[in-house]
Amino acid sequence: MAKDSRVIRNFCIIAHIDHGKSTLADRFIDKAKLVSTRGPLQQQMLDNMDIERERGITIKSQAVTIPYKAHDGQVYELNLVDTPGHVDFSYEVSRAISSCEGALLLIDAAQGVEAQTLANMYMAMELNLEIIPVINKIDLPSADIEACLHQIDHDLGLDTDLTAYVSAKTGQGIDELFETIVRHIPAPKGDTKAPLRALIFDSHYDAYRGVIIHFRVFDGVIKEGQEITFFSTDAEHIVEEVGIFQMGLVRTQHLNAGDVGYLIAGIKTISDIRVGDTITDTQRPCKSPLPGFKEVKPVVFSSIYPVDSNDYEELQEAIDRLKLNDASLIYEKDSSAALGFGFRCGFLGMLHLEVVQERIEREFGLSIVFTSPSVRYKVYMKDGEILEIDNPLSYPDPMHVDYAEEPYIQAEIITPATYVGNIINLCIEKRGVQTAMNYLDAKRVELIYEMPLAEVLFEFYDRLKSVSRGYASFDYHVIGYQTTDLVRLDILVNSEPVDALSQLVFKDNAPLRARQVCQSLKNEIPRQMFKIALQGAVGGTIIARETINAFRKDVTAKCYGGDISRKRKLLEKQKEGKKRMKMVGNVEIPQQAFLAVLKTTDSKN
Amino acid sequence: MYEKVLLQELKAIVDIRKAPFETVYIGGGNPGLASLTALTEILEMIHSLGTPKELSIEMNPESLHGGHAQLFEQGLSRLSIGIESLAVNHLRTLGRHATRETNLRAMNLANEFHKSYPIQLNFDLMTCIPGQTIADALSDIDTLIDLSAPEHISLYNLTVEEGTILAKEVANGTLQVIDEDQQAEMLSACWAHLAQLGYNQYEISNFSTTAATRCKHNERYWRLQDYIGIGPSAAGTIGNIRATSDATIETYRRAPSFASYTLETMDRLTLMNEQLLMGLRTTDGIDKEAWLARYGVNFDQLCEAEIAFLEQQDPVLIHNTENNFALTSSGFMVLDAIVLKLSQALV
Repeated sequence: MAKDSRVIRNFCIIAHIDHGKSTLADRFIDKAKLVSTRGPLQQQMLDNMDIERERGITIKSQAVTIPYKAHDGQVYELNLVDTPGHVDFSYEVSRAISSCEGALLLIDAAQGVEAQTLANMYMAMELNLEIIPVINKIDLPSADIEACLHQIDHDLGLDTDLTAYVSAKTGQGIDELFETIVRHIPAPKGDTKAPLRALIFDSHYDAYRGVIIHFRVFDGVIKEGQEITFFSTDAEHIVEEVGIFQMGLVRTQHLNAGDVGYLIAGIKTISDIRVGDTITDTQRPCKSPLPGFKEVKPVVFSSIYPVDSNDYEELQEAIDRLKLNDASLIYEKDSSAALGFGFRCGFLGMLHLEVVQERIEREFGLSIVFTSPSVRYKVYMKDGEILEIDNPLSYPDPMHVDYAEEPYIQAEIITPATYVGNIINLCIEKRGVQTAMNYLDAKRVELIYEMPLAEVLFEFYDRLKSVSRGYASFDYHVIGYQTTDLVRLDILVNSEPVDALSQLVFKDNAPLRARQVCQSLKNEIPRQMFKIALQGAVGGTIIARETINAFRKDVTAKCYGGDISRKRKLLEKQKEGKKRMKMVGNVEIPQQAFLAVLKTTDSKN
Repeated sequence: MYEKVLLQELKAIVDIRKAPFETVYIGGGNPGLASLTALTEILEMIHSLGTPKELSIEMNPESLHGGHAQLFEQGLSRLSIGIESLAVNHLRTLGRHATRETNLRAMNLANEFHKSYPIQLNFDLMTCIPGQTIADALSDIDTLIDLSAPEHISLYNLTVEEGTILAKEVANGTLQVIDEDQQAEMLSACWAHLAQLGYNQYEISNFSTTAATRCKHNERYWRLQDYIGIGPSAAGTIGNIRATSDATIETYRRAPSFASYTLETMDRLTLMNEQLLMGLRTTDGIDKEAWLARYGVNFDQLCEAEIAFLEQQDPVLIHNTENNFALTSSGFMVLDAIVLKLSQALV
């Protein structure tokens, strides 16, 4: 009954945003006739969340098994492992990719090769995946297949003979692509008789069944009733159910070396498992875990507050619910004089933060305010104590601080040589120190920099894209802490400090940051009946100042019998709007102002 | 047909009503377009109950003609004309068909009526029109008073309402509204100028030579007193019931009488909000005794924190006496914000 692993093909799709990855995945499923009888499909089945669909990005890995009868008459089992598409989730991407033997490198026929795809392609190459170039959107009038082939050969150094030509939209070329997958992606190797070794590449939470682990078996067999151990945590569980992903979970009772599927083992919360961890048999464990595991730690911290403080309980519930499906989200209670009770949260990166924000607002209908995101600093006190601080409100009196350290990353940037000058300037501005510069070929350069994580989080990515016209690719990993000159920037509204707007910043950046915050507050706080002073201060020193003048005129010209109802309804609406304002002294600050301050730290120059 | 439905509705009201109407305002759009026959019939019906204290009609300048004299014979006591501006470019900006000439002609004709009949005159003027200067606005006021010496002037600052052609032009940049600070200056200058010429501001946009020449009809709205409104999109209020017509001119003419009105019962909070909204528009302000009698709460206590906040502001925004709560001239300029502030006390 053991199925022959020679009929299995495990592959993922690597693509630049908008090159059609999810549409291609849909076609795979259509072609496999898995879903054609199940009524109208939601577009892009693998991207489950609204946000994913809207932004055209995939945040969580997904998998699906597609049976395919090839021209040789054999029925193959194609396991598509869909991967997240953002640097915030590069660890998850690496785990998903390492579950595969092959990758489809999807290229938009009209756009050509775009650089952001490269980081994932190199990751796939490092893991020895077979890469099949796939030119998509060949039905577009603007498709330039010749140019794409040239890039595949010249820029990517891939074999153009393998190239598949498809239109994921119309389904053209999908059959040929299936054949290419079957012929060129190797069947998984692995010893069914060896002790169990399986890789967790993702998981999700099901309200009825608990945690559902997505995994790939490398060696051995996993079956229901089996006792398993997670390598990193030593936790033991009994397998309740094993199966594969189709348009839902399909129980198979066991999975063999080479298979991709799910398992349920009575695990209550997603925090109990680790992506990248190795599953093995408790009685007959493997000697060593699969390589590449690491503990993912949040790197960006921000506090979330409900705009209406009565919504605190709802916010708590929303975050608890998100946490069920998102092990990387960590949080604890927080409170602020300006914003009341909220939660201090840790995120993998800015996109992760934005996704959480959007989900709380959309799925739970809550209006929330985020405070300015921060990295986690190490503050060395004169008395020898070491504090780890990511919340400006916890920053101690500078009198007692000896020195501080901030997290540094190693950034790997790959760019066409033309943009090297721009990128070097940007990195210098961001306090980067170059450690290497390699010509990968005549046209492409790899730059390695060490720079503060804080500089990278807040606006680096957008700037990099703009100075390289989107062609530079960027990846980073945290390398440790280095000494920094840290200050707390406070923002005062009519002399009252707004604690929720305080930020920890590098001292030399403080004046600019202070000006940016004051300016964006000036743009977002509406004129009021009195003059409002906005100030940025470090210690007792004012380093930036803006003024919002009192409004001079705010009067409805006409109001007679026929206008009363409409004006009153407008008044009621405005009263409702006031509830969404935060009061600092007598000043009403709209939610938008807090959000705008957040933006000044992540996108504007 | 339109006139027929309107007359049917008016007749139904007259038939059940015993006392004369206190005031009547024939307005909303341009009644100058109505036939003399219909207007005559309306006036006859109104008079069948007795003589109102005030009986007004409003008209666009280009619609006023000599034949309208007949209406004054029938007891029409007040004529209001939407002059808006005497500068043709500003009239164009406002989308008006009138020219300086049609406006001057209408003013002259109104003067003739004014001499022959015991009527009061009102002219509407607009300020803060894109491209208008303070000098332009003051000169319109001067010309108007020199030529016609009306008892009453309504002076409105232009409001760009959503969904209008003006709003579209502002949005696409073909029209530039005057900035808020300049608007405030222009409006203050006009108010001061009118005061100097003997026109007393008794409501944000309304000025009269004496207390007796205020518009009595509009004063009822600002005091939240009962009124009946008929016609497309008209509104009426009796006690805590509001009737609003959902009809357009098109649907109104096709519908049977009273088919288009939606009734709304207003609770105490709604009425208090409206009382603030309307009452603070006038120099009389909120009558605290009347407020207590109607809502059963003391106004000063109800709005204590908000009043304290307003009292702290510079310049002085409010004028709070034993029996009245009213806004100063500076307060009028930021009326909407003050109403919003005070209404937050009403929960």
